[in-house]
Amino acid sequence: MSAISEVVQRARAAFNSGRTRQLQFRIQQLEGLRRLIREREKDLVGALAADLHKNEWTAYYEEIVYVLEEIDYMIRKLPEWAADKPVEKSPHTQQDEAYIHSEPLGVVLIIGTWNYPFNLTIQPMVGAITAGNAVVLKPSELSENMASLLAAILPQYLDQDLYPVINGGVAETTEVLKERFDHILYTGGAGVGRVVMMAAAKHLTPVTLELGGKSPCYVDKDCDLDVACRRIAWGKFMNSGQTCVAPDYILCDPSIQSQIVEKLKKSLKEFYGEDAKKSRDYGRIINSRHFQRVMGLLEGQKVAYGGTGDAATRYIAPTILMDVDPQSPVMQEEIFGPVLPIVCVRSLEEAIQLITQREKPLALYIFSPNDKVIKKMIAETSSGGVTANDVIIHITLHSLPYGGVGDSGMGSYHGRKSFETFSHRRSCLVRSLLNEETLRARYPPSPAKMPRH
Amino acid sequence: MDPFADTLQRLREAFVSGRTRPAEFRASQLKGLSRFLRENKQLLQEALAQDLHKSAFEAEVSEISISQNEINLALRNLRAWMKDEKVSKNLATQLDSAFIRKEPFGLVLILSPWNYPLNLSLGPLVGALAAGNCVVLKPSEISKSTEKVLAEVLPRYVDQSCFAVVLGGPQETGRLLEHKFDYIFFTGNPQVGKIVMTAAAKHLTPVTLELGGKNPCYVDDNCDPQTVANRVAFFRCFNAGQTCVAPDYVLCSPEMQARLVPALQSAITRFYGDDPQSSPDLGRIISEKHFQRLRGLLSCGRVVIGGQSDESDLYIAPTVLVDVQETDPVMQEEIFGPILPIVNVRSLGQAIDFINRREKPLALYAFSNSSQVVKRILAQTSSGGFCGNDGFMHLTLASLPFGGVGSSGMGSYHGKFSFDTFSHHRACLLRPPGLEKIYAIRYPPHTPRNLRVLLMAMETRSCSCTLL
Repeated sequence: MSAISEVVQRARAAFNSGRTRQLQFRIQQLEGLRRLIREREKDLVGALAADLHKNEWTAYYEEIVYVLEEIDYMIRKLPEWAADKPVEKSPHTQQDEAYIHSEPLGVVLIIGTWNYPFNLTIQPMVGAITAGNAVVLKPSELSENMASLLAAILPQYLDQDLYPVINGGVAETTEVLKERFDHILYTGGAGVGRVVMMAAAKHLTPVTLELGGKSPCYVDKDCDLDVACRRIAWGKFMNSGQTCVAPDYILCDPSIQSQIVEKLKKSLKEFYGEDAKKSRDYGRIINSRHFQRVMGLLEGQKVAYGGTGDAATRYIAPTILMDVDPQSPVMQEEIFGPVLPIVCVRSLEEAIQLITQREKPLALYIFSPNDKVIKKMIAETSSGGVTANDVIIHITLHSLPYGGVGDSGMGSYHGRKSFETFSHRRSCLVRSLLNEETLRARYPPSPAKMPRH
Repeated sequence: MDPFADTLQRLREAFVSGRTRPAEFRASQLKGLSRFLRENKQLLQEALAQDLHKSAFEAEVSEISISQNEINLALRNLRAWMKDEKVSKNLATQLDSAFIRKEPFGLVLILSPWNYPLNLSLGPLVGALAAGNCVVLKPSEISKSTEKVLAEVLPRYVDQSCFAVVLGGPQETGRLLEHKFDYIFFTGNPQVGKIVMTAAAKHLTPVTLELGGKNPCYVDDNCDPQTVANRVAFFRCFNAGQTCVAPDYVLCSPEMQARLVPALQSAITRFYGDDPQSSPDLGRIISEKHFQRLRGLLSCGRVVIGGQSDESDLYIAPTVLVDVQETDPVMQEEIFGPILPIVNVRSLGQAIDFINRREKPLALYAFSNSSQVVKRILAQTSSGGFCGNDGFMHLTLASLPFGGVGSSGMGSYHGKFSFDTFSHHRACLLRPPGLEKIYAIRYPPHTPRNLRVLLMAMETRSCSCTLL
């Protein structure tokens, strides 16, 4: 048996031991994770700094804090969520007990990704632990510092058999995907998403796929452009654009394009100074391949701001493109970098058409003071989620499910949805053996009492 | 030539036009389904009789009424289900509007099986239409008579720009699955389930798979054998055993077996007479292939009840087998016929181990007067659904989700669960414009002071919040 198989088998045996069934056990594990975050925060920040040039603010505030909140929330809610839920009964089941019983699925595989390598690996894990599963983690090898750190510190705070970390590249991931799991949650791109789902199909394993796409950002003529541009700049350029729900491109009327460019520039200078390379708060591209990819998208484009990069430090300046052609390469793939194309459209209808001709995105943004505009945009498009008059924040509310649709994904998690995703809802009806007389009518023979046609 | 391209194109265009969005349209589709059932009852009963020798009673109870109930429930609740679902907000989002918008996926494919060819087509169809999707229904070609009614009569009752029935066997289904759908709902066996999911993966299409397995039926020593026998025999033999949630095999002690077997005989005789083959209430096996398969299983263990078969009639007698080994063929596959093997266990613990060694079943049954026993089995096993002290009654409650786990399936439906299955739950947060000062703290440059302020604010918080 391979090393990977052994690890998974051990997790399964640990799950089968039954110790995750006790709510108290799960809570202890969650408390362990909380202690890990508090005690090892410096190490976590260090890894994020090394991988992505994050600092203690961006690390904490854009990544770690959500995991802490999720842990607190789940510890509080677990008894309520885990309890049997009685359901409405029908006339002939009035005397019975009818309820939904939540159970762990078994061994869950979480394949993390590199852009928020702590959050996107651990936040799903929190849900899986809360639901009583064993969890095998496969962090992304691209964020190598976080991957090694997780492998080193998780066993110090959590049950070592139930929550193993498996590190490695494509070969190891392929190996892991041959094993049988009871649920797989994958965060990443659509191409690998397909591979994961096909591997899962061999074992009839349900999957949650958190993918991506080009999240459009429509800016109405009548909105407060100062506010809109500041918020867009904040959401787009955080983590140097490497956020799955970042506004990918702007759609606006040509008459406001220049203003938007100016206000975006203003905000960027406020955030990162004249030279973002010198800002502590500005991230770096994860690796050379992605650096080349993003720089390549600038070819032939009209650069209104930025457009420069430094391969040695994998720095790409905050970049704004104007008058972008929807057919050009920068509009054909998720940018995942600090490049913000502006595509001009002459009406809300044209914007909607452009959006609906493309794959359903993970997020959709509309800036408008006009309720009707917002409602129309939402009603005539589809996306994983929506924020109006801001960006990104819909994913921070744990009562909203976080997930995609179409090519941007399937399934969702966060908060209670995580618990549901990683649980089996078992329908239960418990009857009595003492009421046989009342049930006689259902048995054959079924004579003339049946209405004959 | 792609036989499906035009149909799918037409349905996609209809979806994009927005026709299926208004509640009125969806309600009229559902009313159409209702009229279809009411106006074609005789036709449907005849088709089901031809396909499966289904009695009028079984057709009414397990196909027509159950479908009608789903339609009525959807009609009654449609607008409530369609409404945006408001969600609780935290401190940072108090001023916002936060809700989940239910949206149709688009083009849905429903692949339905032959054993309850009407119910297992209409049930999912109700959910898909109520949720505002356009639907392609591919009924089983094995239940030929019902397939014909569904193909020729059903479309007349619904808007055909948004609904189509396509026909074909495994090859055609394979070709159909090469196309992109926005959701696929499949009912059938796990092997084909894998093929469907693999095809869906190529297009990143979400799926619900209603599969099957061997549903264990534990019979405790502490119970009345005749009551148990009535219930087990009834649910085993319903539709000649061709039910995904039928009790597949019994687990009990040798002592209980000795009392159960005569009770089972008594129940079977009462239900179907001395010559079950002449009872109008006992179904027939769907096809020659399945008949042969089942006939082969009759030689496992030892026959203590029944064991007869008649190829010309595709008839298998209600049969009970004892002295069955775990390795016998009858214990290796889902039986899907009126054959009930009894496997002996010496304790509840042994029964639980036996069950847990195997794939998670679609249903699990436990018979005992002791609620402790029932609860212990529930707690120490897993299955799609569970019923204590009866057969598959749990699926008659629309308030309970119907679906499997592990190799018995993924996803669920019935009632509101159907509507939710066929809807995308879109997270929406609408922030009023302005109020920029509140959010200013989130912007760079991030000073250590800002972080301290924020952390202090968070530590003193009494509820969870993010100051974004």
